[in-house]
Amino acid sequence: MAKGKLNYSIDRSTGVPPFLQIVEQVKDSLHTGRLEIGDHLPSVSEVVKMTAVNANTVMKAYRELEYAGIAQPIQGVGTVVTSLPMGANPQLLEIYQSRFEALITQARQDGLDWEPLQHLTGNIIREMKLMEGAGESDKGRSGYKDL
Amino acid sequence: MKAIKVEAVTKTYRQNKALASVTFEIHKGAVAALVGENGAGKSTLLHILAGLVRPDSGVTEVSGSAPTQDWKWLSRIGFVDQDASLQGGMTLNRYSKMGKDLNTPWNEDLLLARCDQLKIPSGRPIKQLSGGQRHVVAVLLALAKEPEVMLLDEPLASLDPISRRTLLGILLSQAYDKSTTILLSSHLVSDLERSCDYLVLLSGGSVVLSKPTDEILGTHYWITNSDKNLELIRQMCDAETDYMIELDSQILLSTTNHEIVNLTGAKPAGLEEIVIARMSSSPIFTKQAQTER
Repeated sequence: MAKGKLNYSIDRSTGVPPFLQIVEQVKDSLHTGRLEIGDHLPSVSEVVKMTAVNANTVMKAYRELEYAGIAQPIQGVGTVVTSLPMGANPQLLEIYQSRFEALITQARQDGLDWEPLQHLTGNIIREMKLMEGAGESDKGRSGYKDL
Repeated sequence: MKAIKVEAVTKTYRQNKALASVTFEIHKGAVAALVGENGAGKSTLLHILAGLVRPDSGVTEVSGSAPTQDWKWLSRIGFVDQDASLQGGMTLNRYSKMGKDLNTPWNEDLLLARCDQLKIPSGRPIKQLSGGQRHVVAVLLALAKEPEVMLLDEPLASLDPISRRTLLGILLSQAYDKSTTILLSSHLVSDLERSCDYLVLLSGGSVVLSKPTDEILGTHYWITNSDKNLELIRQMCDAETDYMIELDSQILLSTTNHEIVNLTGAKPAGLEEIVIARMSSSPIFTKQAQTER
């Protein structure tokens, strides 16, 4: 994936609060390696101008990232990524991305439709997480579940 | 600090009561939305705040003083009416020169950069621009004098979705960068949900709701209209602060009680749904519901 400036896209129809959408998009970019330690997050002013989201929303998202230990505001520099989210491993993720892609391509060729496929993967992850007793450990501090 | 204060303001045009005791306050640097059905009194209120209409009674304060015709106060206020009329023969470049002679400060560079961003030709006579573009030009001119308070009547109404987003972005960044307070009226609630941090809802000349957007979104829920849920609401809600609107199959409940939210399986309501429900029916307060049943 091309490394470049992060562009948040806020979708209002998802029901996920805009500030959490920003938090998730930053985390997502860190998981996939599009964003690395030392990279700058776009400034509040830039985000406000690009997305027409209220400045308070962006500041709330950045505070949340700071609280999670992922980003730090640095005087005169901006908000900088200081560590990866828990469990992030971009290299391993890349390997598994191609593995999953191969498997999904196979399933498509065998005639499985997108929707059941999506349900299937979602269900497998949900059930295995339950069995592992996970889900508790990575629940967001803000109290929103199912992210 | 408050940038706008409105206290018990009333206005009647002949027989028509336009505003019946309106009270609310807006923080400095806030981006506030003024929402309400047609004829709710939004334009009257904005005209009063801009000093163009005198209220029958009540107190208003904008940017530290009551609206006047004094140039010192006027230089701190930006106002763009619903049908802002600009002289058709003049180009934006000429308007900007005129603005520079009449106003201090005047941010010409930012004005022209923003025109570029919105693809508005600054060398063309205003009358050759589209209706939407003309309105954008009026808003950008008002922003160029870097007012402390911007009052905008329907600034988004005639714009396509992309220009709408761009203009909102421009307004929001001016609010953030210069601590400009913005009060804008609009029907496009879905755009306001992400952009405005405060909402004033007018209905029939009165304020129905005046709160930070986050607080509104965090306290309004949809609940299935069933006897069991109604009973729970009756038992657990605070009649002083909570209210509900009973619709056919659903109840819109406003509460800060998280226990009842969990017990009833309530789902958070969107701003547009809340606004529509609050505009179309008056809430039943839980105390009232208790005695009625």
